[in-house]
Formats: sequence, C-alpha cells, structure tokens
Amino acid sequence: MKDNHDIERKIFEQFNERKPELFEKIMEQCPKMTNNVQHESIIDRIRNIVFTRRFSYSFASLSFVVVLLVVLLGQRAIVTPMAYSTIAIDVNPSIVLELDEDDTIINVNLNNEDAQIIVGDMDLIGVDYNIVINALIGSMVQNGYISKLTNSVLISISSDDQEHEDELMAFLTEKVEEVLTANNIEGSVITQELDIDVEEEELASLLGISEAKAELILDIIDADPRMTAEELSELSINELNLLLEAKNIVLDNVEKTGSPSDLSIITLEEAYNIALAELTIDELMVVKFKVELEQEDGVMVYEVKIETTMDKFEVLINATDGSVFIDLDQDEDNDNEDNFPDDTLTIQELIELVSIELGLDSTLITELEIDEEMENGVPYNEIEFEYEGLEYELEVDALSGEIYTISVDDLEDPDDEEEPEDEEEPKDEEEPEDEEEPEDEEEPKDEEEPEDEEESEDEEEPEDEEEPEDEEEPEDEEEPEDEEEPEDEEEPEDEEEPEDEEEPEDEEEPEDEEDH
Amino acid sequence: MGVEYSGKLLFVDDKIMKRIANYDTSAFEELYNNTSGAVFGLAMSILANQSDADDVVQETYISIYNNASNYKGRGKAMAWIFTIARNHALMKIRDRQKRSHVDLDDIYNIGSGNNVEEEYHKEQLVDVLLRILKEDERQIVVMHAMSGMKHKDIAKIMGMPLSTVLSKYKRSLEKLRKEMEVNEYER
Repeated sequence: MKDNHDIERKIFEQFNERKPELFEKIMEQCPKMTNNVQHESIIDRIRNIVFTRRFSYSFASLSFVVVLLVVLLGQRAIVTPMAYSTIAIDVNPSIVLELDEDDTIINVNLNNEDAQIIVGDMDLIGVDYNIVINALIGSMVQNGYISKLTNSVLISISSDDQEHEDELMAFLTEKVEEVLTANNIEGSVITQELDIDVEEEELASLLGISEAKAELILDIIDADPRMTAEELSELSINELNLLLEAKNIVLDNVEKTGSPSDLSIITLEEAYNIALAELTIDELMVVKFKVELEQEDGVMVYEVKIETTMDKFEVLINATDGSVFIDLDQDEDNDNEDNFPDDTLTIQELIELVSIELGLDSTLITELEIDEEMENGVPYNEIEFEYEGLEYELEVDALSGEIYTISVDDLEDPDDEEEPEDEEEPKDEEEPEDEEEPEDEEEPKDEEEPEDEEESEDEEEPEDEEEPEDEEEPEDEEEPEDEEEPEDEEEPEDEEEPEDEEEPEDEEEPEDEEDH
Repeated sequence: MGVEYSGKLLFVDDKIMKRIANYDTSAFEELYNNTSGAVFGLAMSILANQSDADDVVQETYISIYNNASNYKGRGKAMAWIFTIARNHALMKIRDRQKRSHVDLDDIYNIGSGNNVEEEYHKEQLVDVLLRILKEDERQIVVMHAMSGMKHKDIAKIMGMPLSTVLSKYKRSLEKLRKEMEVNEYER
C-alpha cells in the first residue's frame, strides 16, 4: 500500500504547483493588514478571550468579565502589556519571567511556595534572562527539585515576535540542558508555546496549578480524552512526562528532549512480580501478560494484566511504592462495561478505519481480538491483531474512531512456541533492564538509559505510514517493556490466542479479566 | 510556494489565527503560503475549473481575514479553513446553477479534446483525479492528501458517516492506482 503515500504526495505537489499566487491581490482587500506585527489592542484581546471556545457557556456572569478585565490589566496576568516575551518555568516550583525587547527581566511572578524558595532574595529585575535562567535552574538543582529522580523541566514561552519566540525556545532548551549536564543530570526539557486563554486560566485557578501546566494538561487531554484534568493536575511535570512517553503521546505544540527519569518508580518487572504475589499466581501458569505504566486518579500505577490457562486478571500496582492500588473512585460505574454505548463504530468500521490509517490490507489481518472498555466515561476499543509477522495493539475511540495508542511488535518465529506478546522483544534488549535488581541498581540505570532507545528501534514502523495520523503514535514504548520478562515466554502452545477470531464478530467480548 | 509534502497533518497553529485576528501580515502570508495549495485543491475538487477555484481561494482568504477573531477551535484551524473554502465553492455552484444549468463533472472534460496525444502526455495525476473520481470522492481524497486531515474530521466537514468516508477514500485511491498503472504501462 505504499502507493497510497505516493499518490497523495503527487496530488499534494501538483495542486501546490498549480495554485494561484493571489496573496498581493487578497491583501488589497484586507485594508487593516498593514503592519507586519501589530500588538493586540486591549479591546481585541478582550474580544478574543471572550469568544474563545468553551468559554461561551460560562460567559453569562458579568462578574467574570470584571475578573477578566482585572486579569488583562495585569493584576495576575501572565502577560502584562509591557512584556515583550514571557518565559514560564515549571518543575514543581513555578516561575514566570517577563522580558522586554532586550530580553531583560522586567517582572517575575512566583506561582507557588516552592518558587519562593527557589528565588529567595535574588533580585532578578533588570538582569539578562540568560543569567536568570542559569541561576534559577541551578537553584532548583541545589534545592533538590531537579535531580536524577525527577529530571523534567517544562519551559513555556511566548513572544510578540514569532521568530524571537523560536529563538528563545531553542536557546532555553539548550541552556537548561547545559546547566543540568554541568550538575551531572541528564535532563528532559519539554517546551511549549505559552498560549494562555480563559480556559487555561480557569483550569489553573480551579486546580491550583500554573497556567503553563494547565496548558500542557489541556493538550494531553485533547490527545487522549480518557484522562481528566483533575487527575493529571495531581501529577508532577516528571510524571506527566513519563506518562507522555509511556503512552507515546505526541503533542502538536510540544517539543521534548531527553527522557524522563524513571528512578522514582519501580520497574515493570517489579510490578509484575508484585502482581503475581498479590494474586498468588505461580509464574509457570502464566500464558500471557502485559504491564503498562498508567495513571489512575492522579497516581502513577502499573496496570498488570495476566492471563493464565484458567483465567484473566488485572491489578493496579502503585508505581511509586509498589503497593496494590485500590481504586476508591466510585464513579467507576461510569466506566462499567454495561454503560458502553450502543451507537459506537461497528467492528467492520473499526477494521476498515484501522487498516486505512495503518495502510494495511484488511483481508490479511488475523488473530483479531477486540475488547470494549470505558475510561472516565469515554468508550474505546482495545484492538489486537496480527499482520504479516507483526502484532498490532491499538486503543481506538469507539465513537469517533480516534486512535489513541498504537504499538507494533515483531512476532517471533512462527515455529516458536512462545506467546506472541512476550516474545515480541527478543531477549537481547531487555538485558539492561532485567538485570537490575530492585532499587539498588537505580544508579546505573539512568546513565545507560538503555531501554528507551532499544524500544525505539524495534518498533520501527514496519510499513508505510502514509497515513498522517500514523505519526501520532509511531508506537508506544510500553510494548517493549512488556517483553522484558524474558523467562516467562516459554509458555508454549497456550499463548496462541486460543480463539483465533479473525472473524469480526467473535472478537468483541474478551473482557473477562477480573479487576482487583 | 515551497511547501513540502510531509505526509503529516498540515497543522495550523491557533496562535497564527490569533495573530491574523490582530492583522499581522506576516502571519497571514505564512498561512497563505502553507495552506493555499490545500484550499485550491479542495476548490478544484468541487468546481473542477481553474478560474472558479482561483476565485474561491481569494474569497476564502478574505473571509479568513474578516473572521479570524471568531475562530474558536482548539487546533482545528485547518478544518475551519476547509469549511470556509467549501462553502465558497458551493456558493459558486449555486451561482452557476442560477445562470445556467451545467453538469459540474462535465466542465472538466479532459478526454474530449482533439489533441488526445498531447493531452495524454500532459495529463497529471490531479487531472486523472478530476476526471475519474466523483465530486465527493475528490473532496475526501484531496482533503486527506493536501492536509493529512483525519478521516473523522473529514467526515464531520462533509457531513457523512465515518464509514462512508473511509470506504469512499479507499475506493478512490484504488481507482487512481489502477488508472496510474494503466498509464505507466502505456508509457
């Protein structure tokens, strides 16, 4: 199906060659478009904010307009009329710097107590931002907010000049990494354009987080609406970063360097062993298992699914302390499968959608298995199938067809007995991870960062992702990790999905796994 | 101009729309350069006529200029732009119909000329697309090819069920592929 991509490319190029050059003519009819960069007037600004999405419903209250004006006039605003550029730094300390056209600090907002600890009695006004960034990041390291355990920094930037904004973004990423490297920390810098609207402000004040973090959270929820803002607000920047990586979420407006540290959480293997112990399952009985890093009610957890010859189990393990996570959230009824709506996409539509998005020939799909799931009221399908020696796993919104996650792994040699799932990763790569015994090795772990790279390699999109959407998730790293359990794969025959249901119909009801 | 095919979503940052709402010419020009090929392609797929499609491109960007401050989507600017372009193209059709009844698919009638050989050599894939696909198929393929837009968003714009869009898309590409193969053989 490679030609789909070629055909689309040709269409794209040929229409672009033929398109008319009418910009000058259009400009003649756009009289207000005179200056290259115009600053927003206060009136425009208010109008823009007032008519922003999701705001209209709450606009009724006049008092809110008053609050808006107050915000716009700079009481608490992130952007004062005088600021030419704005830089927000979030680790846990949350600091907003406002710069003039010469990149000198003209205002500093400290969003939380941690920020006050970091800034202390430093007088940052009138100082070049370069020096200030150095001082602030250095202070965050010294005070333990950034360390080998939590190495993620969120930098959010806006500037009246787009080009300058891009420069600031590139420079700051480099600068922060440089300071961290000097402190022997391999950092992970997340950068985004600071684009604060009413929505972000409302969320920030509602949840007591910074506007920049609210913006990141809203972007994550846009990409995967199965998570809620309330849950995500409980996570640290490093945890959000871990989640982005584990779920392989790629956000349009967000750039990322490095990998988040996973030293503050237990390993997949530890989680798996804890789950086995909790369920009192002999490892030898396991036919298939899957361990994924997730968040549940704002807590980082491993979701461990285990299938034995007799039954299926699912248990959540708190990723921070290794305890069994008990979900106290009672709106679980919301996520009860009984509430799975009737008007979802049919299996045929799902298969069609997935095969088009991935450029596959749907007639060659085998071992198809489709589960119905609910998360925070969002119905989605877990789809697994095999295709030309690869095993695909997807999570797809059951109503809209939006693909939330995709992972693709090699199947082992067909003659091999092992189960599809665990084998996918030849033992080689897990080497690094498996050896590490519990906590003690953490040290060595970070330098090598072995797992992450490998994963990227093995998932190379097997085929043409002509579909643009494919990029969304080339494939999630979770996959590789699952396989880290080298030993247990040997379960011979059983792994093969007992029910070879390429038949659309049969797949839909495999959700018998028990929740604990 | 100078827009390269990436096979990825043609993403128009909401921030650009805000800048346009504030009459930032460079943002407007950037938008035009990045998206006018897609707007033109969509207009062609509906009107199958270069001069009418040019008009639609012009009218679309003037509408964007006039309405940028009303844009409310979060990351859906391209869908918004396509909707505007589509409306202008459909208005054009209504105008045409008022003046005289014309079968749109006949306007672009490449195969009927005398210089068959010359046309044969000149015919590009987009000509084939306009010739052999139906109007709704053309729109679906062009929106996907030009912007990488997801099928579910295309379905929304077209007011069609996702499954219909998917099957039309698939069938259309199959038709194009076959047609291309034949052409390549002959050459």
